[in-house]
This record gives sequence, C-alpha cells and structure tokens, in this order.
Amino acid sequence: MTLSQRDLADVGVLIACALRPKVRPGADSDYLRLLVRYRSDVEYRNAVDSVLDGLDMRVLSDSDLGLVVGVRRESVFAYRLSDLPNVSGVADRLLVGLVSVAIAAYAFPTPADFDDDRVRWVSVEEVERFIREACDRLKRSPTEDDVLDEAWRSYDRLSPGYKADKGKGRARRSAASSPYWVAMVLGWMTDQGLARLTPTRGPEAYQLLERFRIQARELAGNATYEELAAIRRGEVMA
Amino acid sequence: VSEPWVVGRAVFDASFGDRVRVLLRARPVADAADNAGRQAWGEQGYDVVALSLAAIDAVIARQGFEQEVTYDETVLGLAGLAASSGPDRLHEEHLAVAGYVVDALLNRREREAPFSYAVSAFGREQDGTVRHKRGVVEFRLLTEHEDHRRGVNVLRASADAINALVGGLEFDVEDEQSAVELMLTRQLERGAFGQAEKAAERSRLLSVRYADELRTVLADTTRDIRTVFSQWAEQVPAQLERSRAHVEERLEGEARLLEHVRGALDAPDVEPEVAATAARIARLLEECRQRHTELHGRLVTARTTFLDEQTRQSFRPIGGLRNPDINDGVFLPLLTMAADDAAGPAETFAVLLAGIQSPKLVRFADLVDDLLAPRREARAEEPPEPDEELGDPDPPAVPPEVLAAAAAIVDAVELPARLSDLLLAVREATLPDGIDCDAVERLVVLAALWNYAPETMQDVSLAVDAATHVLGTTAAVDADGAQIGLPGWSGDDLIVAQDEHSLAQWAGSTGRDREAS
Repeated sequence: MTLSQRDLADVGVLIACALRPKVRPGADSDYLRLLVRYRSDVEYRNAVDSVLDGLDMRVLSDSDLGLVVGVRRESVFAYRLSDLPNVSGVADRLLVGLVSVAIAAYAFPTPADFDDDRVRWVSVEEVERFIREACDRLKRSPTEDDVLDEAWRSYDRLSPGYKADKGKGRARRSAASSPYWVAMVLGWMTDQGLARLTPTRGPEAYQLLERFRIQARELAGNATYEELAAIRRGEVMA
Repeated sequence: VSEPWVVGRAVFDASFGDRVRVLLRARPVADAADNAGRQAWGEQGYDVVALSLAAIDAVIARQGFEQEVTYDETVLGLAGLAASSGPDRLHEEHLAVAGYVVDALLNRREREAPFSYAVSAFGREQDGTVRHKRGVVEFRLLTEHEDHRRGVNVLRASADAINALVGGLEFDVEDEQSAVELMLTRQLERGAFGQAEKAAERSRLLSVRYADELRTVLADTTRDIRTVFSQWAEQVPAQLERSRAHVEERLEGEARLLEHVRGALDAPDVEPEVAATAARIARLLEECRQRHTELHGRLVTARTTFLDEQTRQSFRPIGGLRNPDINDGVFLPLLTMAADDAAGPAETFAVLLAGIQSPKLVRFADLVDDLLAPRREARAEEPPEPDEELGDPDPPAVPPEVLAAAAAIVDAVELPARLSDLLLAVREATLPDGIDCDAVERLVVLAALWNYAPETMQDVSLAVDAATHVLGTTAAVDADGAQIGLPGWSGDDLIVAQDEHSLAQWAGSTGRDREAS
C-alpha cells in the first residue's frame, strides 16, 4: 500500500501541529487522530519522519503531549537567540545559554531526575541564587593561570540587585543585573511552551513543562555534552 | 546468658526495617497534624489526619483514569469536608485548611522534596554484640504531574501512599487481590455489608497499584528499551501473561460479585441500610471493572509496544538514549571554560532546548506602518515583550483566560459603575489558577479606556473584540471629572454603563444627588 495524496496532506497537518508547541492534542481532535495514526501506522510514521528529516528536524517524543520535535541548528526552524530582545553579541548569547543550562541543572540535578515526570518549579530568585552560589564556589577555588576570563565571570559581573526601581506594575530591571537575564530566559521559555508562569507559587515562579524535560533530555543535554567533549579533544590535539 | 536483651529477637529480623518504614509512612501526616496548631485555624478542631487520608483516597479514586484529579479539585473537595466539620467558619478558612493538607502531603514546604527520616538498623555479631547502622528512609505521598492531553497539573499517589492506606507490607498484588475477592464473597454471603464495603474499597486500591506497575514497565520500555531488555526476555512476558490471565479472571469475578450484590438488592426483605451499602459496593465494583477492562486492553497491546519500540529505538542515535548529566557534564564545565569557548556550546543548549521557531515573515503593510510610526522612546531596561516584534503574527497579547476572568467580574458588578468599583471587584475576586490579578485589572482599564477614546494606531478589530468581550457590545463610558482613588492607578474615575441610555440616567441621577446635597 502506498500513501495517497490525502495521506500526504495528513503528514503536513501533523507537522503543522508539531510546529505549534502550545497546541495540545487533547484540544484538537484532528491532531489527536493523526498522532494516534503516527504511533500505529508505520508507513505514515516513516513519511512524517522523512519529511521532518528533510527539514533538519526529528521526533523526540510522540506521547499524548503531542509530537515533540527536535531541531538541528542548521534548520530554518531553529531558534535564533539573536531574535531575543537585547541579545545582540556573543556575550549576550553566552548569558542566555548559561542561564538555560543552569535552569536545567537546577531542576534536574542528576541524570536519574529525568526519569521522574513529577512537576518541577523554579523561580527567578532561586535560579539566580543557584548560579550565584556556583560562581562563589568557583571564586574561592584556585584558577589556572592560562584561563583568565572564564565563562562564570560574565555572569558574576552582573549586579545581583533584584529590583532597580519600584515603579507601578511590574518592576523594571537593568540589563546589567542578573535577575534581568534569568527573568528574560524564563519568559522566553514560556513563549516556547517550555514553562508557564504560576503566580500562585509566589513572585516570578514558573512551572517547567513536560516539553522542557523532553527537549533537555532527548536532545539539548547530550548534544551539548558531545560538543563540549569535542572541544576538549581539540585542545588535547593542539 | 546468650539472650541478655530485654528487647527480644524481633529487632534483628530481616523484616524489622520494613516495619519501621511502614510506621514512618504515617509520620508526615502526624507532623502535619502537629504543625496545624500553629496555623490561624489551629484551634478550630479540624482533623488533619482524617482530611489527609480523605485527600489520598480522593486522588486514588481517579488515578490511572483519563481525567485524573487536579490540585484545585482536591482542595475544593476537602474544603467541603472541612466545612461540615466547622460549619460556622468562613469558606476561606475551609479552603486554607484543605490547601494546608494537600500541601503537606506534597511536601510543598520543602519544595516537594521526598519526606526523609533517619532510621536505625540493628544487627548482631557472632559474639552477641549489637551493631548499629544509621540509614535514611525516603518516600513521597502525593506528587504533581502534568496531564499531557489537557495541560493541567494532576495529583498522583505514590506506592507508599497507597500502601499506607492498604496498611500492609510490600505484598504480591495479585495474591492479595484474589484474597480480597474471596473475603468479599464470604462477607456478602454472611450479610456483613459494612465490612464488605471496606473490602471493596481495598480491592480498588490494589487495582490502582496494579495499573501503576504496568505503567512503569511500559514507560521504561518506551523511553529506553535497553534498560529493560533483559527483563523482556523472560520476566516481563511471563508477568504479562500471568497478569492477563489474572485480569480476565478478575473481570469475571467482578461480574459475578456484581451479580451477587445486585441479588442482595433484589431480595424481598432487604433492609434500607443494607440496600444502600450494596448499591455503593455495586458502584465500586463497576468502577473496578472499568479499570480492569482498560488495564486488559493495555496488557494485550503491551507486547506490540515492545516490538514497536525495538524497531523504533534501533534507529535512534546512541547519544539520545542516556539521560544527560546536566550539572556535572554541562553546567560546571561550561562555567569554567574560557568565555569565548563556552559561548558556542552554551548557545547550542539554548537553541536545541528551545525547539521550534517558525520563520517569521514581514508583512509589507506592517513594515510601512512601523516605519512611519512615531519613534518610541527606547526603554532598554523594560522586560522583554515578545509581542512587540516586527510583523509578529502571534495571537493577541491578552490570553483568553484573562479575557474570560475580566468579563466574568464585570458581569458580576451591577452597571453603571465607576471604574474604581470594577477594579476593586477584580482585586477581591478569587481568580482561577494561573491568572494574574494585575493583568485582569489592566485589561478592565484598557477596555474602559478604549470605549471612552478608541485608539486607532493598533489593530482595531482586536481591540474592539477585547473591549466588547469584557464590557459588552453596547457599553458606554464617560468621565465626569472625578478622580480615581485606587492605589496603582491615576486619572479620571470613568463611569462604565451597559448602554448610552443608562449612562445618561446615571449622569442625571448623580446630577440630582449633587443638587440635593
């Protein structure tokens, strides 16, 4: 049996659903139907996987959460950090990256933590304190002479001041303060469907969503680890 | 001489540690009852222990089903119970008590960490001296999970919580279940309905645990088949086969019991109390049967799941199979690298974590509008507003929940009213979970302002939609020079009326008031 034109259209519909991270199959009967088909119909699944592969993407999870896809960096669908407000240079992107890793490290401190799907909560203050404490530990430990500007110093230089001024409505922060960056990353994660604001848990508290666990566990964590390993190997050769 | 200990030998038994653990399972509940004395309602005689058990029961009742119970539902249910124990107290207090109980079971005070207790283990050397070892017992009672389909958080009871209720040591679920069934049949035959109901309850708890065991095996298989590969060779198929035979037997047994209970209902001289109990048991059994039917379906497809996963995962890249070690493997190495080197991998993590970004196309009309718009002052320190991006086709800035909340509050206030009254109503209203009071306030103000003086720079249709959604289609707004006195806002205290006519009446009546005074 080969796939008909109609089936191919269904491939497109499912991928379109996957491209909208905030749509849940529970709220969209077409999505649910095609998701079930993806799980059960090998031919259809292969077609979806092949199209995604051509777009430099691959399926990370096909649970009831929906089709979660991972994106290779060269894909047209890959996120560009430079699209974030106030993120222009390498230094800014380093901060966004560091804070993202820190949030994952804070919520999932050991590999085994990724097996547990209970809800994880973080707040701007907790994440800020977590990174700050890591920086303080590094500050106390002796450093090697050849590395002067370690990455942690770019975070440590930021002011830990929590609120620059108390205007009405939301507090404003300076981009030279670390809470600004943490809040910005969490806000960005919320837009990407990785987290959601939970005001009942306190000020600037967020719930990390299942999508966060999947993306960090199935793709981002190991890919970054391998990139770091490659850099280390490169240093050994040089 | 060989037995100088008054304590006897039991303390050295292998099962002693298990019994200590069983005893400790009740400790979080006891602690919660203890600490309740320090709450504002501590002296009002709410039974925290009973409420805790009720909470766990409520969670288990729907665990494993399509619609598991949410935090808010549990709190509301418990608040109902609290209300019947303190009928002359305020509803807020009942909610506070219920919230306290559920939070205690979740261990929210310690950020959902597992309950952890130091325990002693005793052993005996050859020469009779006693060896002491310190250990730690850790467990959770309730945990919160994301319901993938609905996106809400649901509660689940841990095996420890279920066991605490069943009240035994770790036992083989299947045997226990047959035992319960046997007991139930006997009890029914003897007409001991009160006890039979308890037994039916227990039978249901076991079904939940049983479904959980299967879920664990299947979840492990789907995640990384290699971790359970050896188990699938013999152990799991045998377990599945046994389970399937067992569930089929249970289904039959439950059908038979149901007959039995219904028979008791149809008996000519049945007492009303017995009839009520029998009806309750019948409902319970019906639920068990539903659960087992579903479980049976999953058991039958379990083998296919395994085969499918085997095919699927054989094509997965190796790196994706391990759980990453973010802390030691990524975070700390990144921090200690030279900033120039770290930027690349750090960005990789953020980009890969982010998932998808649909390429955004600039609409020419928007671009021209934006270019011609008066220059806004740069507000660099303002937190990011993602919706301000150029040509962003994203949905409106106001989430539908906030719209609905604002509309509901305005509905509840009698119009015409002053804007300050509406804002007060917002501040006093209990908003649904996840809705920011400030956002609702802002929306109400914006809707009123838009009605008063429509802004034409923005997308008009959206603004009209939002404003009519909140205030209604015919709403009319006017100012009479009165100033708003609410902290956080300034300017005219606008009058919001349902239509022009009532606005005019309001103006007339307040005019008369002023003349009268």
